Parts: sequence; C-alpha cells; structure tokens
Amino acid sequence: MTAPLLSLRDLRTEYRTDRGTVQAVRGVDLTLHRGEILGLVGESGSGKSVTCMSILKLLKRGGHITSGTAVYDGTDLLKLSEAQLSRVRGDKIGVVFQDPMSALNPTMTVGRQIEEVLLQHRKISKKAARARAIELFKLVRIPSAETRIDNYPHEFSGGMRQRVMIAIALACDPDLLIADEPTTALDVTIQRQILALLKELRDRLGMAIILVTHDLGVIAETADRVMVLYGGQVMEQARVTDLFEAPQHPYTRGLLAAIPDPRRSDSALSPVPGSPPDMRAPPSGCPFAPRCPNAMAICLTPPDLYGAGDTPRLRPAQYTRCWLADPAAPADLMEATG
Amino acid sequence: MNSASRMPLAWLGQRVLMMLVTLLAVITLTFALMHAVPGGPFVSEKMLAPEIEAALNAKFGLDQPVWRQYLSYLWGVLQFDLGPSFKYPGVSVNSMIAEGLAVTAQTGLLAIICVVALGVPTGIVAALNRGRWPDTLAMFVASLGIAVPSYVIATVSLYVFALRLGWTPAFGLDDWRGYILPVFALSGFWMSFVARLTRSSLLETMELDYIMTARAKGLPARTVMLRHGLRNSMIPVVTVLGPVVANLLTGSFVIEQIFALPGIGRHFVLSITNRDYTAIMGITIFYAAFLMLMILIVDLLYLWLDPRISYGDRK
Ligand SMILES: Nc1ncnc2c1ncn2[C@@H]1O[C@H](COP(=O)(O)OP(=O)(O)OP(=O)(O)O)[C@@H](O)[C@H]1O
Ligand code: SF4
Ligand SMILES: [Mg+2]
Repeated sequence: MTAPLLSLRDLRTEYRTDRGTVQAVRGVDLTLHRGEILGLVGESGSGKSVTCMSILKLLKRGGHITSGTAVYDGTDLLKLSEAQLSRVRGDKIGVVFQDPMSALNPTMTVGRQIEEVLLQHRKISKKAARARAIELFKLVRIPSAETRIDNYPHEFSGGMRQRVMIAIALACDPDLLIADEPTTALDVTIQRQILALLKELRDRLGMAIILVTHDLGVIAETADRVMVLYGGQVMEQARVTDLFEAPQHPYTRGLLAAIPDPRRSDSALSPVPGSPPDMRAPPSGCPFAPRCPNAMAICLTPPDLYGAGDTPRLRPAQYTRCWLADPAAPADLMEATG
Repeated sequence: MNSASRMPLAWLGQRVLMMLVTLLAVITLTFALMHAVPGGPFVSEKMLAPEIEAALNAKFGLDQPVWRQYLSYLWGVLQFDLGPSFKYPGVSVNSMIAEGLAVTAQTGLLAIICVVALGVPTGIVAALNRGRWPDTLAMFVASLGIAVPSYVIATVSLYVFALRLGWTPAFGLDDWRGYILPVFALSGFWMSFVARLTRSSLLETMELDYIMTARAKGLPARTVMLRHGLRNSMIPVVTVLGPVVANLLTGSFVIEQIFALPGIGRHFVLSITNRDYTAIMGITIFYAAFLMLMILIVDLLYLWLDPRISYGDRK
C-alpha cells in the first residue's frame, strides 16, 4: 500500500479558557489516502472541528496542541513554524468552513479574495490571477463568472457563497481539502448540490477530502470511509458501507437508530438519550459510558481501539473503541447487544 | 453595485433637508434662550443712561417685537450673516468666528492629524503585539492620556518644557515650536482614546470567522491583520472621529486660555461673560452646523468602508 497522504498520531488539543481547560481532542489517530473522502461524524462538541483545524494549527485563541504528529506528504506539520505552515495553508491544503455567511470578508470583492490566495502562493501576475479566478468560478459553477467576480459576498446567496469558498480552497490545486460542515448552514436542496459538487471535484481533480458533518445522511452519500468521534476520541472507524451494515460501537448504533433510513435522511442527529460529557473533566474510562445501554463495570477503565485482528466480527479497516470488542469478552456478548 | 447607486440623490437631499430642519431648531432654541435670560446685553454693572440704552436697543433692533427680531435674525443666518457683535462696536460675529477659527483651525488640524496618524497606528502596534511589552507600554500611556485632564497636561508640560527647560515658547504661535505643547495638550486625550479603541476593535475583529479564512489561505499574520482586520475595525473609530474633528476644530477654551491663543473657544467663553448674545448664538449655530456636517461625512465614510451599507430605499 502506498504511503498515506496524511497521518495523524495521538493528536491532543486543549483550549485553555477562564473557566478551565477543555480537553477538546484526546489522542486521535487518523489516516487519509490520496483521493479519499473521509467523513468525521459526531455530536456537537465531540471534537470534529478541533481535530481537523489542528492539522494546520488553525486554532482560536487559547487553543494548544499538546502532543501528537500530523505527517503530511512526509513532513510533520505540527513541527513547522508559522512561516513554514503558511506555505502549506491554502496551497497544499485548502479549507472550507461551515458558515459561508461569515467566512468571507464582507468588505472585499469575491474576486480579490480568490486572487489573493493565488498571489500569495504562485508567482503570477494580477491579470493571470484574475483569469484563474474566473476559471475557478466556472469550475464551481457560478453563473456569469466574468461579472460576478467583482461582486461583494453579500450579493450572493448562501449556496453561491459556499461555492466561492470552495473556489478559494481549490485555487492552488491542493491535495487535501478540509471541509468543516460545508453544508450545515444551507438548506436541503443546496446541500445536495454542494455535496455533489465536492464529490465531482474529487473525481476530476483527485484531491482527498476530510468532510466534517453531524449528518450521517451526508456521510452515506459522499464519504468513502468514516470516523465517529465522541468526547474527543475516535469511537469507531470503518468504510462507509461497513459502518451502515455492521456498526460495532454502541454510540454508532445509537446514531444510526436515531434516523429512520440512514441513506436518505438529512436530519441532524441528537436523539441518543443523555448529553455529551463536560470536556473540562471527561470521564476517566469510556467517555460514552454514562449514556451507554451496554455499560459494564470494566467500562470505567479506558478501552483500546480494536481492529479486525482482535475480533472476527470487525470488517477489514474497521476499528472500534469498546470493551465489547475485546478478545477476552465473551463471544456472545456482542451478538446479544447487536 | 457602485457607491453612487448606494447613495441615491434622494437620500442626500433628505439628509441635507434634515440638517436644515435641525439647524432651524437650534437657531430657534438658542434665540429663545437668549431672550429668556433675564437682563439685556446692555444691563451692566455700570448703569447706562436710559436714553443711551434706548438708542442702543434701537440700533440693534431690540425695540422691535420678538417675532420680528427672530425673523430678521433668521433671514440673516440664511444669508450666512450672523449679525453684529453686541459687545464690540463695528465687529461682526462672522468676523469674530473667522478670526478665532484662523487660530483654532491651525492647532485643531494638527491635533486631528496627531489623533489619526499617531492614535490609530499605536492601536495597531499594540494589537499586533497583544500582551507583550509594546502593548503594555502603549496602553499604559494611553490610560494616562485618558485619565489626566487636558489642562493638567497643558500646565505641567508648559511648566516643564517652556518654563524650566526653555525648549518651547510659553505662549503664541509665532515659532513652529509654539505649536507643540498646545497640539499635544489638545490631542492627548483623543489620541489615547483612539489608540485604545483601535486596539480593542481590531482585536475583536480578529476573532471573526473570515479572519480564520484569511489565515487558512496562508497569508502571513501581519497581512491578515492589516488587510482583513483593519478595515472592518475602523468603523467605530470613524464614528468617534466625526465629533472629535468638530470638537478639535471648534477649539478648547481651557487650552487656548493656558497658551494665550486667541482661538474660537476663547471667543465663545468671552462672549458669554460679556453677554454678547449675538456672538453666543452665532458660535453655537456655527458649531451645530459643523457637527452635522461631520456626521454626514462619517456616514459617507461608512459607505466607503463597508460595501454592505447602502442608503435610501433599496429593499
Ligand atoms: N475557541 C474555543 N474555546 C474554548 N473551547 C473550545 C473552543 N473551540 C472548541 N472548544 C471546545 O472543544 C470541544 C470540541 O469542539 P469542536 O468545535 O471540535 O466540536 P465539533 O465536534 O466541531 O462540534 P460542532 O458540531 O458543534 O461543530 C468542545 O467541548 C468545545 O467546547
Ligand atoms: S466501552 Fe462500555 S460504555 Fe463504552 S461503549 Fe463500549 S460498552 Fe459502552
Ligand atoms: Mg465544528
């Protein structure tokens, strides 16, 4: 197998606030191959955004990466200086944010906002940058590209603005696109269009995508592989078909049970009973234990991430962080809960 | 959409009309107040002979019914004529204002330049160095500038630099060095205020989502702040600059008194002690008109700063 494009190992990120330290990400491992779409799913506060923004050290004030590596194309990004990182940001890795209403600078024409990233990373003239910006506008299918390029963000609809954001992220032909809930702020039909666009662009341009969402429907439609996050840790990881066909972790099952037909629904998740842990003082054992219908005494100690080598029930490339998958667990225990 | 379509002529016409209406209210109010104050302009400590007072009253039209006086005053103002001074024979209020303004505008303009050219960059440098020594130093000095009243700055600096050290003249504007202390005293407070406002507004703007987008593009931190943060953070600064400009260009009595500058602020206070009613009214109306003009300019600056703003009846 070829070397992965990106490999996160034991990423830990915390936010130091006036009201205590929030352990937002607690030892996440992630592997992403070229051209792959990896979905990150989980409830609000599970650490999806912090995980993917840590890759580029794009943290808000108070955010600190306390350990881990993020090897991208052979370099550990977490060891780079700000100056070195800024040569990766926007060039090798593009980012699309959740809310296209606030993610664009309201005082600058969208054309300038695209040209700016080109001029930063490429030695090209302003004229060439503009031509490329128009080309990108066409790529993301914004009609009347030549004239719309001189408009301000508020003159576009939400869906069109998200296309502008995608154009900015794709400007320098990145190998990786990080899309943090790119469709959450949009209505359903526009959501579909944007997701189809992302998938089509992946097929045409061959970049890998990390797609953050809390909508399993989006995952089913778009992703190749999926990671389920909870309490700043990976609960389960699998190819999309395997996750829907054979979910192993009780949290994943809860998420799936919360939507009538996971492959069609567009509804956001939450109806797993209970509420997420306070990440200033996360549970010492399995973070899901307080809400888990299968919780056992042993769940007060942290479970490992088990793979197919540990349990025959797991499919290849499927991992679950749950005591039920421990090889020492009685064979029928998991069957009974499934 | 260009700036012109965002500022329709109808809007501008409406604004100017509103300004005129407000001005009319100011004129009427000051006029009414001046006439409600007991004692006429010529009632002074040294009693005038009744016939002389009657002659003076006739000369200034004070024997006319009030509504007549009001209408003729209004007619004058409409022609930019603020009438004669009651106190100084043969001197018009217009010429008093012009004379005072000539002095005040010089120090005032320099003070405005200091506020903008020093206050804003100080705030930017502080924000860029948040929590490090340049920030701490700048904000310490700015707190002093806000806490210490301008007359204290004026007298202390006058004592130290003019009287003890002899670096600057103690009064007058004959020498360029004569400008230093009055301009410093005039601008100290607003410079500090603008520096703090720039810093806090910039830091607040730097928390917005599109700043994260700018960082994600790989722009250097300084470019992110100056190109993306600064423009949006200038809106509150521009808001205070309008009245500040009006304030500085209409003079400060205290500063003008301390440095013996015959500016408009000094004229205003003198005209109050002199009961020079037409001068009081004239300067008040002038100040009001000037302030409204500044606010109009601020509104036009918003248009330039923020392309989302548009005036008029667009949906
Ligand atoms: N700027 C911040 N300051 C303090 N705590 C933060 C900050 N950003 C995130 N956190 C905390 O880090 C944890 C993980 O947050 P994160 O934003 O990654 O969640 P998420 O999975 O992206 O959720 P959502 O679906 O709401 O976007 C949460 O507990 C959150 O409160
Ligand atoms: S480890 Fe225990 S508490 Fe956690 S999900 Fe598995 S069974 Fe539930
Ligand atoms: Mg998020």
